[in-house]
Amino acid sequence: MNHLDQKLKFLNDKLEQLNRTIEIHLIGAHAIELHGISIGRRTEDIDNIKIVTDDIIINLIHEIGEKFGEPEWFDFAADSITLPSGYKSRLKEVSGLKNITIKLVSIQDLICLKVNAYYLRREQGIERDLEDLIKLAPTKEDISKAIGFMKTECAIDLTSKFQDNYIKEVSDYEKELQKLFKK
Amino acid sequence: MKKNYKNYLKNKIDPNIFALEVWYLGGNIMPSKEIVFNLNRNYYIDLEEFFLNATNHVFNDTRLTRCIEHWINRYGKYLSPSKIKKIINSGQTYNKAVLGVFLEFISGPNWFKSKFIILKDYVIPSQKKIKLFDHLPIPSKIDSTWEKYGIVAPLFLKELEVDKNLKTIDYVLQSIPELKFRIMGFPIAISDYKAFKKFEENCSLYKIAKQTHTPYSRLHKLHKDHLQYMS
Repeated sequence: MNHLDQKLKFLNDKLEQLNRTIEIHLIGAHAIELHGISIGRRTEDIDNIKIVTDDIIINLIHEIGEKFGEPEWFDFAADSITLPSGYKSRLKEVSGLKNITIKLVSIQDLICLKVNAYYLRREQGIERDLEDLIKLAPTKEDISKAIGFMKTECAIDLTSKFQDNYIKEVSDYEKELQKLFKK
Repeated sequence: MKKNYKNYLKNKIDPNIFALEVWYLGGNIMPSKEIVFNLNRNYYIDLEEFFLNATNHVFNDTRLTRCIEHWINRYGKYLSPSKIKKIINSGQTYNKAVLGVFLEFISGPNWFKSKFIILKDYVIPSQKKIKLFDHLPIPSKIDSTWEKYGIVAPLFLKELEVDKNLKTIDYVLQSIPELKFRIMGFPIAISDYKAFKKFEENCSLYKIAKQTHTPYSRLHKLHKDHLQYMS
């Protein structure tokens, strides 16, 4: 059992006592690992994109973070990211614990999210998204789909002035990625 | 199972063993999933040995490197320059350019005016520009500290994702004796002695001196004067 399993089991035991359940829609490194793709060393956190509204569960998750010294072990902020439309129909359930259902975001959707995350975070010196993308080994077609997702769904809230600039930047970014992923 | 030092030295180059030690010492990074390991550590880790070993483990994995950067940034100030020097002189391998980067993370660009001045001769920037991560393209934002020592590395923002990469101080004070006693302000030799005793209660002073890189005569005197009343 790894440390993350330990925390999830702890959460599950508490949920059982309280007669509550939680469903997690998982993205990020842990989801990639559960799809059977080894990404090597990783931080131990849950990137959940399903909104948690139950205050008792939210407090419980914070308590577990305090107990294990990892306040950010469960990422609630993941619910604020743009998701590929219809992702729910592509979720894959993995055998979970009695009171915790874990559903994995599909590989193609994970590629879309990682392509977008690398674009957004590399300016801050965060390169792990590219490392994960290399492990996910996307084809040229996968990259095109991900860029399509960025140009449409991620751009939707931008005003036209910013949208033009963004689309241009994303087009340049696509060329960069196509050089890296030539398959 | 106690730590077998012969195996430990052999495994020092294994990044997964190293990642596990980062985790044991308050980092939030795990070895690969395939590695079977014990969550409950039962051996002492020497902080200065760990620090020098870290200079060799920054080249392969951005997550591990980021975690090391944050660890150095938070805990580097508790390290002993004289112990680092002693361990280098005993033959431990380390990266001379990366050592410079780490010292700058700890004490800023004028680190050679700080207590770390005694390590000045042990830092040599890379003559030729090298990439920190050979498996990745040149990063879009290059870190100026790494670059100063000849290494092209992604920008490191000290305030970004600290809680993602490090366990809380409360947890460290409860669970990591090597750091706890240093943070509490004990002198290095006493701190290491007390931390070592948490893992091996009944062992000779000679063994503790050897494995904490403390001169035996100094530890013997400290023990006679103070430590036997402090355990």
